[in-house]
Amino acid sequence: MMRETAPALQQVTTIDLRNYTETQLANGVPVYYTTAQEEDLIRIEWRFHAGRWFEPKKLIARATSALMRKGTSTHSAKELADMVEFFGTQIQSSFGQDDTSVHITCLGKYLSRILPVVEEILTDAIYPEEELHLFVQRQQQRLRVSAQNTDFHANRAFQKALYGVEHPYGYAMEEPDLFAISRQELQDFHRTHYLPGTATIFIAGNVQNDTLALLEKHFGKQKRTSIVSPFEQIVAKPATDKKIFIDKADSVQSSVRIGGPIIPKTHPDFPGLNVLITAFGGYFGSRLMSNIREEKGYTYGIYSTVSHHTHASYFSIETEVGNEVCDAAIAEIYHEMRRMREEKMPEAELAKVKSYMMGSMLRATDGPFNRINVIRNMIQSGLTPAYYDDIVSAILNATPEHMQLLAQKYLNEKDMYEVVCGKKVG
Amino acid sequence: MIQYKKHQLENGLTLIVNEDMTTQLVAVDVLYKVGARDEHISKTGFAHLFEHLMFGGSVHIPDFDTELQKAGGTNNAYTSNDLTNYYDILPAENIETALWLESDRMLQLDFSERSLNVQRNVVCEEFKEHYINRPYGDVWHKMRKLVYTTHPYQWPTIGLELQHVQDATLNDVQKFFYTYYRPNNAILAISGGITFDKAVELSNKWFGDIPKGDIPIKNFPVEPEQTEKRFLKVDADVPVNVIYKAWLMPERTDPKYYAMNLLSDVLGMGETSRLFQSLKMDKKLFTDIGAYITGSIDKGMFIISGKLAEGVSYEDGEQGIDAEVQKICSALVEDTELQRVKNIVEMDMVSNLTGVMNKAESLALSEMLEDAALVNTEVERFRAVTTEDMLSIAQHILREEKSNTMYYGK
Repeated sequence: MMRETAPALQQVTTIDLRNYTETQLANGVPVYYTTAQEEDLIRIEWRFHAGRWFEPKKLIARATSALMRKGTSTHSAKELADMVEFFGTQIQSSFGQDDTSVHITCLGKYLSRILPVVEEILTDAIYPEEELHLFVQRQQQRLRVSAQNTDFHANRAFQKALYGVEHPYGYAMEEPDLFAISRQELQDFHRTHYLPGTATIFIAGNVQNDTLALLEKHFGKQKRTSIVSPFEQIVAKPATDKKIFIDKADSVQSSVRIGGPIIPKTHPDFPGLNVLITAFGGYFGSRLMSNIREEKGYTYGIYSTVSHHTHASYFSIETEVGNEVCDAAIAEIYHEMRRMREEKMPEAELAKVKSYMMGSMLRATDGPFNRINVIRNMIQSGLTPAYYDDIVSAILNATPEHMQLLAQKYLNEKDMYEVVCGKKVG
Repeated sequence: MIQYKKHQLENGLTLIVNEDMTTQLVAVDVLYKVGARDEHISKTGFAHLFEHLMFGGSVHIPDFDTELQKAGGTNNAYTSNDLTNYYDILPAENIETALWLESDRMLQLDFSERSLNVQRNVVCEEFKEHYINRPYGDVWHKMRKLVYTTHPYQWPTIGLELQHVQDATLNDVQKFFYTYYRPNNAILAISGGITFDKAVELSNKWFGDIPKGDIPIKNFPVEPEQTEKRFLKVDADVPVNVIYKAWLMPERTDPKYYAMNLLSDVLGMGETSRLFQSLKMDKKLFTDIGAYITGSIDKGMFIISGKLAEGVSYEDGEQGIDAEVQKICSALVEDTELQRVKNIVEMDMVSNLTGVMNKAESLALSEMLEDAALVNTEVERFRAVTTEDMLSIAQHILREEKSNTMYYGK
């Protein structure tokens, strides 16, 4: 047998993102779903414009999201938890820079028992003083624990450098801001931002006819309202000094963050840039990983990504490296950027990146529970399946010349913010 | 329910296949029945270091990752105290690439000083990142040492110390490989867009000629019954003081394991659990508290851990825990409490059966434990547990003289 010869390969060439259903509740709340009936499992997500971009004061979005399940006028936090945990699930909430979500995953047979609790929380959360107090205490502890980690300081400094502390994307949690949160502010924010009429709903799994009827019953009556941000006019105030060092003398490793603002995903260059950034540091075989982990052994991992907020996008390289090799690692990062600008990517490498990316998209869209996440991102960004056709075509048709051109435009050392938290050596 | 079929190759490799034609993907899971418990106390961390070396090239294929990426695939691996698991996920039509890669590194690794050097460094950085550079990073080093006096569970998979990893030689690597990385010590589980017949044919083609090995019989020193309470205070400059309390519990295949698992959920899983309600919400002794088990194959740990609220002493915190333990040892848990934790377990199990990777991994793990059939039948064992079973096991296990307590912090 020819073990030296790789088996023949087939390239994935299409990604199916049109396989979902869109409908509306009577009040106009949009509902998107993908179905699969092998297991009696269903996941529902209510999405709200209630992240930092919409908060009237620092930390309100985070606290509201964390505390909405902690009591209504008829049930205590424990009772609410009991009502859903008995059926083996929890109501979860998660918080982001722009949007937030409330979600459940449960066995379909229990859905009718869970939805009334979600409705009660969305329409009648009361934010008990005691729960707020506990939240503040917990966050304070967490801050103190995190403050011992170099990555915590590096992440905060990096966001601050990009946007400034007055910007909703740029500020970091501080203890005084925690103590300044009042129960009334949380209730007010909830009443304007979390009423069921403001939601967009995403469902995956065992969706039956009565599933939609149940949603209609619990979430289709309240009036649909729209949300305005207090930050429509805000301008980012990036740091003037691009190199930031935070001394942490007791650390054995340094956290490195390098990057800066970059084009949004709707920019015509983005689909190509997506390929470039993956080749550079977006997967295990990337330039950064091959050089800095696999060849030099400086780190356990190094990645580059483009992250998108609704109103800003940024590029970042993240790694944790030994203090003694920190300068060497940074030099290698810039060296790899230079290589991307000065040399054409070998065809074989580009082919590998293409295959990896197509496989990766296939995985991201495989099965209803994965696919709904991609569909949600698409809907929330105001995109259509055609956008993903462009992404796919940019992957399949990427050329070394185009990659080099994009590197010359977007991978320049002089544009990069460089944040290091660790111990100075030598 | 997962439908699957099983087949054993002549060299002892066990193949398990779940056909799933609703997906364009396939997951290939290769489980080797070797983990940190198989290590010698003077060479700990080796199973995990070895997992890294498995990506350093094999006899015919210099670069595992590159070939898999060319096929549109991705992979990962992990090492536990009991086993080492590798998986690849790729487009179903390219499954042969995964079988080619996995079989070549089972046949023979490319033992090179260069690869060993690099991976030694990578693992040392991992050690620093996760166990030194991080508050509470050494908690399980300390805790395992306290709970286990004899059994090799006394060290974590990363190893007892950096030096063990740094001292690893190429000779150790070769010996380890030919001792444990043999087909008759492995399970190959496949889930996704491939038929059973095709999977058998391709497995025979790629794995059939790998010679079987002489696998050492597992004969770990048995952890003796504990007869005296143990205590350790660790002085650490951390912002929050934490209490850990652990007891040795039944083996993974012991019927009593299921009652013990549910017991940990009643005590400390979720916001309605006893510890959360009593010690966090009512008495405000802790800001976070939970109970959980390690789920190891040999006698594992049943653990309660909690972060003390500011101003609360270790002693007051421990008394609070002891009172709850006392309570669960002296009266039956409520029927609704038991039903709740059974529903949680059922929900977890159903969730674990979605996606090709979960399915392949669950099949392989079940097969190692007992039999692949366990993926479908284990939920019944949980359902069968009664409140009486739980009381009796609690009284037997959660005794003061069998407890291990650690105060960690200032």
